[in-house]
Amino acid sequence: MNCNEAKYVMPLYLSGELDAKSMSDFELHLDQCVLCHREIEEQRAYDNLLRACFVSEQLDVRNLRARVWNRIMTSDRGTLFFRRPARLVAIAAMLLLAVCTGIVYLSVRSKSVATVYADAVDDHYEEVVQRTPLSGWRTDLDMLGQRQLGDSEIINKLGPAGYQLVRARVCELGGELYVHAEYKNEKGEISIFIKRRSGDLPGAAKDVVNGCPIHVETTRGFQVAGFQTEQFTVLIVSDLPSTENFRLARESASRVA
Amino acid sequence: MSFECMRRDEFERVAMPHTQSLLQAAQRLSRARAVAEDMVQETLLHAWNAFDRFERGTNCKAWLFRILINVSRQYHRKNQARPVTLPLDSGGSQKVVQLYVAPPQFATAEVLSALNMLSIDHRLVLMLAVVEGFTCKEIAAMCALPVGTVMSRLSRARAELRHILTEAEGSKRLAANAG
Repeated sequence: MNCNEAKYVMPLYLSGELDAKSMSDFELHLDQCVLCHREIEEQRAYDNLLRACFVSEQLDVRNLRARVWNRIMTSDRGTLFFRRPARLVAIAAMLLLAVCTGIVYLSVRSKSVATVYADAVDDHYEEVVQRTPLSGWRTDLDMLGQRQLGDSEIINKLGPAGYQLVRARVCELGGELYVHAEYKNEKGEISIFIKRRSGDLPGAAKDVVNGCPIHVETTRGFQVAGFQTEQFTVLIVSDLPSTENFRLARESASRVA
Repeated sequence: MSFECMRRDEFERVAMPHTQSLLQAAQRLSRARAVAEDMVQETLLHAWNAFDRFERGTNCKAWLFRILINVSRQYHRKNQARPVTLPLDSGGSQKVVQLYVAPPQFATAEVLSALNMLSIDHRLVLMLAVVEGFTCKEIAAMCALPVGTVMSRLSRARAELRHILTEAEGSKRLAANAG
């Protein structure tokens, strides 16, 4: 080890960071070099001098510590709530519960939307388009109207101009009983589902006719237009163009509202 | 005992005992007691807020000094005070060599005054190494510097301090002789 190398590692020697090999080389150099020996001794002496100044310097830190604790307490009042793990866990659990409830509510709601329209389309497709043979079709429609809907005229009144009432039966859409009435003209058949009103139709209304909000939906290639009077909920299902189906709903609504 | 009380007890036990060391270092860095106290207060508040992230069982003093160094840098950035630096006397090897020269006796005020004349970087490494006993490796981690830089700053700081004190001693002798 030469003098330059020795001077370079002096800080490591004084802080005790030299490894055994370097320490041995360094001490060997000190034994042989008067300048470096003197240098390291002086450095050690001045270090001791400096250290002694600080050891003798006793600072009163009681006020400072009190000030720090005071600041900590003050700042904690605002944030303490959020530091407590139990409370954080409780808040997180509540938030999670709220989110889950929201998700379940929305999924149930959207499912019921899909269900009532999808069921109407299914019934129309199976019973009117496919002509699947089912029991329960009635031709005494006044009596059916009176018994199921409390109005013997309503099934007839809902039929759009040019359409002839063919038959009707009681069915279930989205867990509720409807009267499914089939109408036809020279071009084809349509279905009208009717029930006593209880609650609103899902979704936003596209138009309002005589105070009746009209909703539209397209499912599996069929058009559904629904409206509600004060007494009835009505769904019209067809494979007509959406504007035509919508026009039929407007016409029926203006007639019965 | 609540979680918050336990946290305070631990902070009081682990961090607060270093207040004096922090204040001594802060005084040397800022050269003013009031500013030093503000720096230490800020350091301890930072430490309290980050206490959950402090790794238990590691060196709390080193952690606090690291925070103090960051706080000190912010203070100095604000003040932009230029430190006093003195040129080093070169060519020492051509002087007559004595085997060992014991340093003369200096008053604490003289030593602290000489320390205050060093640049802030030199003061910092000297304080951390000599007074607080940190290794060069620890200082390098605290100050985010290479170990080699810490070593060279430490050598220069030691040499500067010795130079200032020797000069002061020489002036004192001259004044005494003249008197």
